[in-house]
Amino acid sequence: MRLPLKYSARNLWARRNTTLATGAGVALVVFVCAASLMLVEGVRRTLLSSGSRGTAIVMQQSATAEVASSLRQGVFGLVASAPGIQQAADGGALLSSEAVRSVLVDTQDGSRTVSLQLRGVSSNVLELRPQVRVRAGRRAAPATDEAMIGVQLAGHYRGLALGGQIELNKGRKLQVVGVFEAAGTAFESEIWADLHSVQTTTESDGYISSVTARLSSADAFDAFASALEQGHQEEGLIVERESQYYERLSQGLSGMILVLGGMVCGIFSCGALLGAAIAMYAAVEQRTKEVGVLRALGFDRHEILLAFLIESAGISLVGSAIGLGLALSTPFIEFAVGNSAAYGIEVRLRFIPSLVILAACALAGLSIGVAGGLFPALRASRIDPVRALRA
Amino acid sequence: MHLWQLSVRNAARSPARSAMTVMAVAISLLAFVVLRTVSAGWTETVKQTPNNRVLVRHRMGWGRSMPSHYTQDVARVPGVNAVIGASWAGLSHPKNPRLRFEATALDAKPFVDTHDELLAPSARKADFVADRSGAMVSRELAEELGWREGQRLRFRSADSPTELELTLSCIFQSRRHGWARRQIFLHWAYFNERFVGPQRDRVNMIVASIAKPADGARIAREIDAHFVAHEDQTTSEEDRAVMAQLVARFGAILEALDVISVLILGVVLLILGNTLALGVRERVTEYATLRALGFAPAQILCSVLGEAATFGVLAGLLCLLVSYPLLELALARFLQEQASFPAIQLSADIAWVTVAIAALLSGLAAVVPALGIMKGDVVQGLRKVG
Repeated sequence: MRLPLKYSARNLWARRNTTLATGAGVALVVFVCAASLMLVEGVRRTLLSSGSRGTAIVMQQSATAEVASSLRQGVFGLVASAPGIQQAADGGALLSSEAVRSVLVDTQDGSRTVSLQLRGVSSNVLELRPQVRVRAGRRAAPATDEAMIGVQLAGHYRGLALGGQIELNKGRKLQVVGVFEAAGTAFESEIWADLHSVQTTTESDGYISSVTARLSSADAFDAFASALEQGHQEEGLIVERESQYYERLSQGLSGMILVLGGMVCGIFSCGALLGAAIAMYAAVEQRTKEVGVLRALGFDRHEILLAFLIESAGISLVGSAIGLGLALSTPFIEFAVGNSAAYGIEVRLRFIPSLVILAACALAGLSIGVAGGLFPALRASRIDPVRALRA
Repeated sequence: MHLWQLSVRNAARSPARSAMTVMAVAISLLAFVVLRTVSAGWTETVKQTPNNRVLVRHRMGWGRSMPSHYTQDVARVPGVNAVIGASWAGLSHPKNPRLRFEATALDAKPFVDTHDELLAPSARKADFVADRSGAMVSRELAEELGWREGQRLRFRSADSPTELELTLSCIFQSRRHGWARRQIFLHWAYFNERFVGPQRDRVNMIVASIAKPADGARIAREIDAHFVAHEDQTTSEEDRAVMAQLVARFGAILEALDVISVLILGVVLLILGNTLALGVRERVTEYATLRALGFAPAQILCSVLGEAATFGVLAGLLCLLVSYPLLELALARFLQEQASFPAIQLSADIAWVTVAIAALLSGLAAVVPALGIMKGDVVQGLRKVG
């Protein structure tokens, strides 16, 4: 004979305050777990999607990020003559030399001054990075002090909006004429202007940060890299796949979030588990007589065990639902953080939910409840009906 | 029997439940302590940064360089004691260019004289100053790579194809947590010799050691004003202000930690309140009996508060007992090495605050169940059949 599900559900409702208080522990674990995984997903989508395996980036050997790299303009010629570069439709090679600088800007509310990435790009940049599309305004004209800003920046920093301007050096200003989107990549947190204009405004004529080249295939990388690294040792170049470069940039940040989130979840899930156990032990104690009656009516041990397990699973389901509900509100939170791997340049991140994350966290919450309820349920199932009724 | 004895005995009446409550609260508080400690680690790096230094960099950023003769101009600013020119040396392993080291070439004598956070025997420090191809290496890096004092080290430097040879003259530790953890310091004059043309005689940073910390802002302004008409303009800031900006990058993460800490305390409150409520509900008849015997409602309240405080204080102490070894022996090292966190240390402040919070929360948690008894009808309580 089965104990109806309603029995467990009614019990949860009858002591709803306990259910909520116990569920809150589970909710916190599920919330922190889901929120940190969603943020890591945001880091990965933003940074990892920025790079492709079939694109190579050439930098100065000692530099760990583009912004710290400084190469002679002449390196562009060396890269152009390396083997394996894809030809564009018009016959030219698909590569672009870029000057990447950090600029200081104030946040819109004036509470912080942060570094953002300014990228001086060549005119063929949109062919090299087809994911970039102008969303508002227009493209910055070549050889002018015009700039486009990534859609993530718009409206969050002083001067960074359509029609705004930012001062770089000695009164030289960049005029914002366009806003671009880049399929959620890190470029959306950048300011793009003409290469030469960036070089002159930052007093670095003749110096670039990197050369990015689309390769004819992902396998062409090794020959391309050794031609530059070994063939021109005197230049001190280092060649990376773009995907590898962004992977490296994302590691520190996602590692930090995972470690923090993991610590809180790891420690706190033990607390939540004990919380569930306390509530369920109390329930078993209170209902000893009732269980005796149920056993006398013919429900067997397993039914009792199951009924109490379902009850504690119910507590954790309530908690998981609250936790997931909270986590689903995080995508509305603004989150910008300086990436240490990129010399503290700020990147704007989103919390990106996915079915896998939500399901995994709900499952984790559920298992906390079931694990916490296991021993109390076992105790309930071992209640001797005769003694219980006599008590 | 005193009332407080009743509190303690009530707490011990259902030992399994009480033990679990104390453990649950202790574990939750542990999560709180860990978060607070990590968060404090960031602010601590700012606090430990000396306030008697002004850092001068190129206006266009840390990566750009200024003429090295700027150091002389900075030294002439009133209030400046000593000046150190520094360049990023960008050294890498001669065989493996991907193995890179954080290396700074600087004016050795004033550097060693002013940076008292460098812990090393003074004879070794003197060796470093005396040997122009000498190097100071952090103990962590030296141990990792098995380097010994007196050893010749070869590096490749980013800006020049020839190898750079250094003698390891001094292995140092830092008094500032996490500062220069994996650094190599070398002589700027020796490093500068490698260059010809525009890269020669340039520095990336000038450190001005100042007499009075309060003068920092004024000195920084004077330095920038002095170079405003020069080709390379400067941005000068106090060392501590620079560090504060570095920490501010993680502002969003620190805020998140704060929010989660508060949520943790909220859940602790619920767990405690729930256990107390369960106990009180089971003892309705007893409390009614006490009331019938003439105990005032306030006395009953005290007994419930006492029970709660017993849980809270025990949990707080248990939490500290676990968190100290956990943080000091395991987490601090792991966080610093694997996840580039600042150095963390469990501070006495956080420890006491945690116990105080535990006591306070348990008091708060007792309020709802205690009010229930005080308002409860004595007759109804006595009539209740278990």
